[in-house]
Amino acid sequence: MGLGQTHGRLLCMLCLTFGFFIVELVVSRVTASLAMLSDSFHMLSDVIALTVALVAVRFAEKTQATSKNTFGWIRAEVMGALVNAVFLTALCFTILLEAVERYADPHEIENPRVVVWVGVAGLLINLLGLFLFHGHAGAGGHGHSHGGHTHGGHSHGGHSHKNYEKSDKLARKEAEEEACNLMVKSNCGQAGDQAVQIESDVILSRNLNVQMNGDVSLEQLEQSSETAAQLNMRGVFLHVLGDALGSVIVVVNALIFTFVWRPCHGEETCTNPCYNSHCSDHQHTHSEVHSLSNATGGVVSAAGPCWVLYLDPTLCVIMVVILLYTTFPLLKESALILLQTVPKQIDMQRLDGKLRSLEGVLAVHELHIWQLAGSRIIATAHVKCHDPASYMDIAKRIKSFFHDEGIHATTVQPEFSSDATESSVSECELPCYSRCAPKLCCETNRKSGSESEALVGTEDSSSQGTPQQHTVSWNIQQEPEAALQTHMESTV
Amino acid sequence: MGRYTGKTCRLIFMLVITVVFFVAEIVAGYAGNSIALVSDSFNMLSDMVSLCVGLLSARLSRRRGSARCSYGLARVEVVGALSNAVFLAALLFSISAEAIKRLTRPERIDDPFLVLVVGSLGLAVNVVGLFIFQDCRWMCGRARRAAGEKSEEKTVMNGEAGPLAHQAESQQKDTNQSDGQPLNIRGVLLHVLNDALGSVVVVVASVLFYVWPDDANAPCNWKCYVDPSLTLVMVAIILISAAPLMKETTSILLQMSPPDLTVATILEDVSRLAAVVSVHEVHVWELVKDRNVATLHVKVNSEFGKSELRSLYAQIREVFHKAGIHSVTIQVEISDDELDGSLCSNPCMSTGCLKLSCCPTEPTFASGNKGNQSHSLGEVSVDMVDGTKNVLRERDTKQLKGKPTETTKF
Repeated sequence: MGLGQTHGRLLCMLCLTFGFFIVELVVSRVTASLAMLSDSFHMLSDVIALTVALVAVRFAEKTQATSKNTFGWIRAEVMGALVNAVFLTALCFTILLEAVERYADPHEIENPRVVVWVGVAGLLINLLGLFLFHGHAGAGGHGHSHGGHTHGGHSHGGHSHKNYEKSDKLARKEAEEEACNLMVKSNCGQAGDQAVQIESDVILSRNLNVQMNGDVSLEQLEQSSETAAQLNMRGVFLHVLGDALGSVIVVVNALIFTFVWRPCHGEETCTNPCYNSHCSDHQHTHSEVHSLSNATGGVVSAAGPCWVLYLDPTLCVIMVVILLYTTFPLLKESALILLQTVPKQIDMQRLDGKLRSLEGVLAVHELHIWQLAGSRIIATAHVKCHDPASYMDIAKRIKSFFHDEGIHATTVQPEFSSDATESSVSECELPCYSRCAPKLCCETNRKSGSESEALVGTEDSSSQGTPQQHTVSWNIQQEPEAALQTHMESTV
Repeated sequence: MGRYTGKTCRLIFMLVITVVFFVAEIVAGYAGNSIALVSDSFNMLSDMVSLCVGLLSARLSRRRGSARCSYGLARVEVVGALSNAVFLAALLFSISAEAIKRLTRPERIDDPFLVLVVGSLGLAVNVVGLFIFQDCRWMCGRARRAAGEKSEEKTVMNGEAGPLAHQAESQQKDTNQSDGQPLNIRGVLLHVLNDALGSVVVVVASVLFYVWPDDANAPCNWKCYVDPSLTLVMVAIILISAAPLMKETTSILLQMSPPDLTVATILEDVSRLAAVVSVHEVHVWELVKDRNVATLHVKVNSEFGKSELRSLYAQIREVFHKAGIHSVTIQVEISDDELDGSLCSNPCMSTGCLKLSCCPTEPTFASGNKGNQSHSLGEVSVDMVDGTKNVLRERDTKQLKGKPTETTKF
């Protein structure tokens, strides 16, 4: 679904909803109906949600990096999704509170017929909205499965054969040129043409393989690359769904009210027995009527049946439960992206282990993987190698490794340890000043002090060892004062 | 102890007070048959929700990095503050809807004395809350300064003796930067402020009804309009106070560069270093306030030995350190081709990956200072490098053809 299409749909729905809001406002003024007024505010909340989504989409179109935002604005859609999800949760909360109040103090509906008609009109508009945004609700789930499959798609390119065949020639040529360029850069000063030729062939074939995988996974990733936009639209869809459910409740309630409720008419002596809860302010009328009926001994008609008055809050509570149940996954997903957690489909420990097992890589630390938006995943790592001369080769291998994992934006910092001792292998050679510790992104291993060396030595006995050992590096290796601080914090 | 303990203690204390008052108000409302009290108690309920969110984020944000969150959960505070702000906005929306309904159909307060009493109690609770969350700033600042002096020891970077002159400078920065309240507390503070102003409105309205009592059957006069109109004024005040918090949290969550830094200046400083040919793929962002992270690719022009690389790293880190960025990841690319000044020598596998990289329309903050065409880093303008015979570049420019240079001002 193109960006323009999304844009158009949002704008269309926004205009429709706003127009209907105005209509409902006018009708409520004319009929002096409070229920109409509150329903119009539901429409207004819809308008707000649509506006937030629209602003997010407009922002996210600017994907160029600028001085203000070096990543471009693509994250705006995830933000829009989070804002909409929290907004919806808060609205559910207020609806719940209103429903509880209604239980304590039930109201009759005035002008039920007008409410029915306007409610049906609102329902139609919301159904149209649901239809417009429907593709995103289910597709949100699909987005996940695609994201999960990208990893599989990398290693076994079985899909999209036609894509591969079409771009086969192009891919070959591109790979060749890329290999040549990189060869020129990294291997100046090495053996003669022969060696270069052989090596470039090897690299060509490897590149080609990688290229194949790249094309295959690319298609899958393209499909899931709309996940950010899908999140945003899911937020909108949920708002419209909430509104639709609200309209359904209004219509059902008004219909039942019209046909089942026997109201009190002005001329008869009539009581409303439903207003006899302990919370009522009408207690005095109840006792008055009681004495009246005793006095006259006649029949006093009662308005009823009472359960009709409790129908509205009950349905509201059910609606709130449904909405919260469907909103929570969206809330969680967008929050996890914004918190810069590792994306679901990536297993950090396994990745770390495989990275360490690459040829030429001595140690890996400060590995960070996070999701910018959708399928744009970013990784940074510090890699310790033997010497700079062979580094560009290793760099190429590392990039290809990350590419296979679905991470295409990486920054790899090479470090070359001055001594080959084991203890220095997994320390960062290049930290900032020691006093900058609280301002680092994360508290990790610091310069060699006796304490950290001891910690490092014990767990790094085999630097190519099992992934299990090395994952602990995030937790254990800390600057001593930082460790003390965290210990004290955790006792609170 | 750090201010972390102080923060959660205050939150827990406020939560306890709010729960107690909420229960008291509900009981009083049911006992006294007043709907108004019951609905006022729900304000306390929303306060409790925001306090719980604040408490949860304060606790979670202390967690270390793990395999699921490589940066730890430091950002939970930011997300929690944003959620509190949006939650507050939604509450304000429904409050203003109620107020507008009241304006169209005004009602009088039935039992002004009871409402006055409970309203004043609520106001007292909220003022206590405001006071609790406000106090610590000057005290904390003094404590931190003292701690900073104590821990000033050798400043060594990269195994070499770094310049010692920056001690005073960074200490200065410390005290300047930590003056604002933590975001977490600011979110909760807004909720408490909302409640406090609401109580003020309740007290004012009930005082009016108490001092000038109305006949129960008389139509509603001007006094009935005081409550809703004051409520709308209150909504406006709180929205204005919430705006800076929302702006700050969104700028952190959108990965914007820190507001007091000019990326262009940093780039210029880095590219002026002797060994650097060009710099590209620069990203600077805030993890949370005062914790900035940067990544960049640096092109150097010859085979480097370990010590040259080390000193290059030291120089680059020094530049970033002066700018206040202490977590930097530098990708070094060794390139001999001067013409290829600013393109990545180590890109991902194919150009198709550009779409899936962090920034698909790949502008490069190119600064060639070795006789290449130098591009102004200036404002926000982003210039594309002209195509040459290099096939890699041709492919790139083909992809990027049609995207004009843009100056985007935020």
